[in-house]
Amino acid sequence: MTTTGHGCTFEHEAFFYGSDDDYVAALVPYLDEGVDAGDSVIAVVPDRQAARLRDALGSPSGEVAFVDAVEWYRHPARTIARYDDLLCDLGGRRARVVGEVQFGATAQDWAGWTRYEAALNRALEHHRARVVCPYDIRRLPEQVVEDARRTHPLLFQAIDRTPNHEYVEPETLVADLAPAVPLPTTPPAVDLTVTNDLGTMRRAFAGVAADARIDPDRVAELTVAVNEVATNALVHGSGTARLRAWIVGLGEIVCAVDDDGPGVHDPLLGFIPVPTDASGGRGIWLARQLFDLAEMAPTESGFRVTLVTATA
Amino acid sequence: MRMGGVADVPVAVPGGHLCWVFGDDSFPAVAAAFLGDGLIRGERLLFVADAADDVALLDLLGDLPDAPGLAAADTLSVIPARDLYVPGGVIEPERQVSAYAHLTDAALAAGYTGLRVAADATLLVQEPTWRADFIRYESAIDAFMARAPMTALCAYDQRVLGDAVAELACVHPQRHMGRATDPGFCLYHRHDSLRVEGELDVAVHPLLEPALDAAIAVTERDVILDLGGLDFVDVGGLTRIRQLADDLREQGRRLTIRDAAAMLRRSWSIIGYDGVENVSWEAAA
Repeated sequence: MTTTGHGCTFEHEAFFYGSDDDYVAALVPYLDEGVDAGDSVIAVVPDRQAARLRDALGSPSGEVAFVDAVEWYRHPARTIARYDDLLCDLGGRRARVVGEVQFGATAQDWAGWTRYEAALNRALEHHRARVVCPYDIRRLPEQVVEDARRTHPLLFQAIDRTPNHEYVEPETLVADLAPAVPLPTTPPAVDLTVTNDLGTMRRAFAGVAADARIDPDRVAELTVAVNEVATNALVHGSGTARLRAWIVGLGEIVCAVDDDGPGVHDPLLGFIPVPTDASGGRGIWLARQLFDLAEMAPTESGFRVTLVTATA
Repeated sequence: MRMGGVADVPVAVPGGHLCWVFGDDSFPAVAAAFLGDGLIRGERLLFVADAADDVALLDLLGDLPDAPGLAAADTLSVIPARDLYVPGGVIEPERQVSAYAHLTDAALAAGYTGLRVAADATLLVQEPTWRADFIRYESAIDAFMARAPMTALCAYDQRVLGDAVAELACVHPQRHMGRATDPGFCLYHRHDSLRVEGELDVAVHPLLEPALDAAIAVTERDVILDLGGLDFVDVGGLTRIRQLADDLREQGRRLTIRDAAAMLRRSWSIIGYDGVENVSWEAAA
């Protein structure tokens, strides 16, 4: 091997393939080798690819765990959390993974998953795992393939890996990937500025969410997330937080929390699992888990976190 | 079962522990009403306030019918605050609790149904360091009242203490805040558990830590934290509960979290606290 590690750190590799034969020819030995080495071997791939790999594997059936990629790659921040949980549960046993990201249909989806690929380099860096991400260059948009060259420190080839000279540090890359989330132009259902009474803000928000017929358990989740973002605004700004919330059509809720502070400059904030003994940083993690989108950006007079989720 | 909450009137069932914040000269009348309620219940009475001597204290209780007669019959005792506790001296919670335990036993032995105390302790908590000690004492006496027929009203003067009264109020099951800012939560003892009620957010994090520390110092046993009355908790609140579990683990103790809301349990898991090994969860008792 021409690579950096000895299997005791996180290795994140892009695999560009142009045919199903290439796919099988490269990944089957990779998976079998992991089984032989006693690794925990997991293939997160679409069903049709799982069938191809299963047929060709030399390892006994059941040695490779197959997970449906369509189900696994629904929500970037939650997928990071699930990988982290999965690898934590191995208790130090080395993992060997194939992870075929499902990039979705829109440019915003692509950017979200490219940001995920970048963040993964930090989020999982303490795990003993090797993750190979197959990219189907026949089907994926050119932009997605191009971005993958910047999000993977290593390139996977049939029997070898090489350092990827086009790799970009995630902090640099991710800053450019945050989607701009325009606020609705209609009047918000809630517009409230508080200094210390977050209880009033929570009740106003929960009331609007309940009026929009959002399920009570979901209202509780969203309220916890909004409260965390507003807490950060109070603590890191000059002491006031403004919440606006819109119910958009029948299917979406958009919240903006503004403060007049300097904001945060870590574009990976909330994508990286917080170590158990760290003192803070869990609020944005929680907000990213509970909303579909949690985006941070400076404004003319301070800083804004925009939270978006489908309500159904 | 002891219940927490906000009280409008100075009334408490036996075992009750009421924090009464005042900002005027109403405390003697409040104490008289509180003690009069105990009289009807057959309890022995004790009145503690900042006055020079017994005569002055009895004068303050003018609203309690025949206070001098009750004192002569040993149904009512009065003690100047500075005689009972030394201001600025070290409050030793165990010693104070044991003194009240003796008084409670004596009341029962003399045929009363229990002991009822109305005390103005403002004098004893004016300095932040005194207050920290006194919070530990308040929590210890609360644990005693959760299992013994003692009832108390602890009065604090907002004119002297300002918003610091919230630090003391939150370790009582019941509170009357007058014009002071409400802490929004309380942490008190039940016979086998610590009960938290209200909402925990960034505004009360500074109050929560001393209250939890005081509460777990009361026993050396495992702790059951009953969250059935908790309407909201943020990540900072969960982190303080996690720290509590860590402190207990260092002492070889376990933390059982009882009757937590589904959302609380979910937040705990999402922020990565499931690995805290000395924590277990149980449904409502």
